[in-house]
Amino acid sequence: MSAARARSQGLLRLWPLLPALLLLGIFMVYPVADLLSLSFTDQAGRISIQNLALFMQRPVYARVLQSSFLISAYTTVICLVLAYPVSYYLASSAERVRSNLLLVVVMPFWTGFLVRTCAWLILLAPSGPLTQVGVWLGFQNVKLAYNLTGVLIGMSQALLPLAVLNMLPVMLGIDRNLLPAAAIMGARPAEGFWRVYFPLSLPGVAASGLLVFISALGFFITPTILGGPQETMIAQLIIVQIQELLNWRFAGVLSLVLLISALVVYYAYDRILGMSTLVGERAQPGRSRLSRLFDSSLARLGAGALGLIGRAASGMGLVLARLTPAPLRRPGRALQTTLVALILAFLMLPTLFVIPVSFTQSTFLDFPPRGLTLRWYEEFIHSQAWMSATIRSLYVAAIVAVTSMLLGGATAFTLARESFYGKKLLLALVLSPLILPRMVIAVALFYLAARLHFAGTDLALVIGHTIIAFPFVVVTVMVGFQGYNRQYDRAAAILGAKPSRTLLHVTLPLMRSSLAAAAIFAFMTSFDDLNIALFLTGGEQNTLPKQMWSAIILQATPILGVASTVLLILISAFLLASEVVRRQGVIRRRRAGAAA
Amino acid sequence: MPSEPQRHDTTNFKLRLTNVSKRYGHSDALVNANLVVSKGECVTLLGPSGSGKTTLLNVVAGLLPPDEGEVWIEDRLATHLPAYERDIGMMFQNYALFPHLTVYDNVAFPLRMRRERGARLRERVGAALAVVSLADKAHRMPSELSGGQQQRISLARALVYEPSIILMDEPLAALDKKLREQLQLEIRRIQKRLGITMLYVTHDQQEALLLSDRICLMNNARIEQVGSPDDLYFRPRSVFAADFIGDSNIFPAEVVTMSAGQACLRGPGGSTLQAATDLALKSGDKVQVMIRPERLRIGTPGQATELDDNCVPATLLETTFLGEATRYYASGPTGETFVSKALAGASSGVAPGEPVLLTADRDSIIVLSPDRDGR
Repeated sequence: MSAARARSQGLLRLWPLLPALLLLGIFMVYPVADLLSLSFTDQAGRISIQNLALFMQRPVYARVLQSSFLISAYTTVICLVLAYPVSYYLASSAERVRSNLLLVVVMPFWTGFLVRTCAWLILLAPSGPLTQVGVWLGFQNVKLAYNLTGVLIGMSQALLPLAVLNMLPVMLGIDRNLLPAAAIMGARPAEGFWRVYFPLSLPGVAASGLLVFISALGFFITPTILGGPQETMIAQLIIVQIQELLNWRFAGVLSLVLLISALVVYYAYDRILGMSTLVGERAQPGRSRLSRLFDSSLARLGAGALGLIGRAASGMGLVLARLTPAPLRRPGRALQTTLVALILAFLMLPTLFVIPVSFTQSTFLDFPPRGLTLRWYEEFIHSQAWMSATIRSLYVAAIVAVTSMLLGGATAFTLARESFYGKKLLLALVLSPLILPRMVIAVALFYLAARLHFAGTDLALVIGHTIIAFPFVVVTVMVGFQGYNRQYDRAAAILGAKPSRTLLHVTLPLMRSSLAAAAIFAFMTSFDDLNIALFLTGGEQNTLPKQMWSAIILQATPILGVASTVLLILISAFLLASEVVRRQGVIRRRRAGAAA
Repeated sequence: MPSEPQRHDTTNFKLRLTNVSKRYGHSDALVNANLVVSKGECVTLLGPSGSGKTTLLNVVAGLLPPDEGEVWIEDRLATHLPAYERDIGMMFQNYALFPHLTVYDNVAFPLRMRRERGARLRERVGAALAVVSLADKAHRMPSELSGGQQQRISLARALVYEPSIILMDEPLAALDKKLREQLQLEIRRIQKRLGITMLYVTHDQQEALLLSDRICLMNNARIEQVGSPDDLYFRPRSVFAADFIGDSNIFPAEVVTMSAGQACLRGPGGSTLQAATDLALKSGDKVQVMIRPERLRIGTPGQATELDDNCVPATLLETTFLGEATRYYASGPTGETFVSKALAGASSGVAPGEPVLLTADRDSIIVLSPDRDGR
C-alpha cells in the first residue's frame, strides 16, 4: 500500500467528524466571525472603528461592563464560599449518601434559571414572604428585589451547583490518608485542614471560580428580573441593541467585548491549569517544540503560582487555625450536617414556591396564595400560546436529542478511538460552544438566519440547540469511553465481527448508560434554553421558556406559576429517569467487575 | 477520665496494650489484644487480611477508638488521646506524602507542628534525609520521585521528630520484589542503628521474619502468638501458627504418657514419638504434631539409629530438585503425605515407590495446642 493511499485512508477514518464540523463551521464559526467583523465596519460597510470608539467613549458602557464584572465577581465569591462546605461534605460522605445528595445539587441546576428566578421573584418581592420576614424581624427598609441583593441571591443560587460539581472531583481525588498522616505527625484538625486539605483543594476551587465567573458574565435573566437599572449586565445590552434598536453593528461590538472578556479568563485558566482538566482528557504528546516550550514555561509559572497560593494558604493555615474559635476547631459532623443542610435548602426550597402560587385566586404572583383555584391551569391548557409553546419545546427537544446524539456520538467515537494530528485543536473546536457565551452564539446565528430568512422557524431553533447541546454529548460519551475496555472490540474483531457488527452488538450495548445520559443531557439543554430561543423564535412560534420570559416581561400572572410547575415536573421526571439509568449502569458495571 | 495523664510503673516499654477490643456491629475486629513493645524493638503484626492487624495499628495511632482496654504510650495513658497528641510516627502503604509540598517541606512538617524553626529545623531535616540517603532530593516534589524514593522520604518524615514509636502499615507492599527486599534491609539497618521502636504491619512472612525482633501473629481478630522469629518458626503453639509460617508437616497423634515436660505420643501407623512440650496434657489427649520439612530426615529402612522412637515408615512418592535443596514427598502408613527437605548433594539413593524411614530429633517434634475452633 502506498504512503499516499495510507494517508488518505487515514483521513477517511475521520469522516464521522465531518457533519459536526460542517454544522459548527456554517452555523457557528462563520456567523460569529461575521458578527464580530461587523464591529469594524460602518453603516456603509467600510472598515471603521466608529462603533468600537462609541463603546469606549460613552461612560454608560464602561459602567455596564464594570457592573457586569463586579456582579460576576461577587457571585463567584458567594458561590465558592457556599460550595466549599457542600463539596467537602459530599467528598467525605459514603458513596450512597454522596450520590443522593449530588442529585439534590444537580436537580436545581437543570430546573432552569428561568423557573428559579421566577421563584425568587415571588419570594423577594416587596410584598413577598422573605421581605415580610425581614420586616417582622425588625429590619428597616428591607429591599431584597430590584437591586444588587436580589441579583446576587438569584445568581449565586443559580450557579452554586456548577461550583459544587467542579470542586467535588478535585476533593475526591485527595488521598484520604493525608489528614490522618498530618494528625499523627502532630497537626491539630484545623492545622491539618488549612495546611494540607485546603491547599490541595485549590485547583478545584480555581476551576469552579472560572466557570462560575464566565457563566455569570453572560447572565441576563436574573439581572433583568431581580435587578434594577444599576445592575444592567452586558448581555442585556446586546438584547436591547438587537430587539429594540436593531443595531447589529453595536451588538457585534458588545458581543466582541463579552467574548474577549470570557476568552481572556479562559486563556489564563488554560495556561495555568490546563483546559484538558475540564474534560478529563490527558494532554496529548507530540506537539511542536515551540508550543511545548511555551506551554511548559507557562505551566511552570502556573504551577509556581498555585504552589505560592498553597504555600500562602499553608502559612495562613497556622494563623487561621489559631483564630478559629475553639468550638469550631473540631466541627462535629452534626454541625457540618446542619450547615450543609442549610445551603442545600437554599438551593432546593425556593423553587418549590412556584407550585402553591399556581393555585392562587389572585391575579398576581403572590405568596401565600389567596384561596385555591385551578383557574390558571385551565387558562394554561386553553391558551393557544402556552400550549403550542409547551408542545414545541417538547418536540424540538426530542429532535435535538436525536441530532445531537448522531453528531455528538459520531464525534466522540471518532475522537476517543482515533489519534491524529490536530486532535486537541479539533476537540477544542467541538467543545467551543460550551466555552463561548451562548448569547454570542445566539446573536450570530440570528444574524445569519435573518439574512437567509429562516429565523423564527423550527429549523433555526433545532440548529441552534444542536450546536449548544451536542458538545455535552461529546463530553459524556468520551468520559464513558474512558471506562471502556478496547479489548472487547479487539476480541469481537478476532472472533470475526465486522466493524459495523462490533459497533452494533458490542460497543453500543456496553456504552448504553453513557449514551442514555448523553441523550437526556441534550434533551434538557434544548428544553431549558432561553438564549437561542430569545432570538430565533417569534410571534406564535415560541418555546416554553421564551413564552415565560415574555410573560414575565409583559405581565407576571399566576399562569407563570403554572408554567414553572409544568417545567419543574417535566425536568424532574427526566432527571430522575437519567439517574435511574446511571445507577443501573453502575450496578451493571459492578456486576461485570465482580464476574471478572 | 482524669485530665492529668495517669502515671504507670514504667519498665522501659514504649507501647503497651491491655485487653483492647473493637467491634463493628456484630463482627469482632479485635478481641482482647495484649501486647508490649519495648524500647528499640521492632515488632511485626503478621496475619492474613482481616485478621485485625490494621485495626490494632489504627487503635495505636489514635485513628480508631477502642471499645475496651487501654493503650499506653511510654508512661501516658493514651486510650482517648487524639492522634496529634500521641507523639507517634507512621508510614502508609501509599506513602501519604503531601503532594503540594516539596520533599524538604514534607519532612519538615512534623517539626513545624512542634514549633521547631530556623537552623535547628534545617539541621534535623537534613539529618533525616541523610539517613535515607536522599539529601540531594530535598527540593523535588514527591511526584518527581520513584516509589522507592517516596517511601524512603516517608520514612525520613516518620523518624525526623524522634517519635516514641513508628507505626508502619504495609509500607513496602506497593513496591516490586527486588526494591522491597532492598528497603527491608535498609529499614532494619536504620531501625537498629537509631534504636527506633517500631510496630510493623505485614502479611508477608518473609518480611516479618527478616525485620522483627518479635512477631505478633494475628488470626481472626485475635493475637495468636507473640514471639521471636525463631520461636514462631521452630516453636509454634497452634496449628494456625505452624501452618502460616513456613512449610510444615502436621499430623494427628495421641498422648500415651506425659511426665516432666516429656510427652510420649502414638503417631501415624502406631509409631512412637518422643517430644518435649510445656503443654498440660494427659494420657489419651488427641493432639496435632508438627515437624518442619528440613527437620524431617529421610533414610532407607535399617539406617535409623533409634529404631523404634521417632521413626515412621513410609513410601517415597516423588523427588523434586530445587537447586540448593531437594524435596522428598513420602506417603505415611495411613496415607498422609510427608515432606522432607534436604540440602542438595546428599542423595538418598531411593527411587519412587521404594520404602523409606522418616526420622526426626526429639526437639524437632512440636506438639501443638488445639485451636479454639477445635481443629
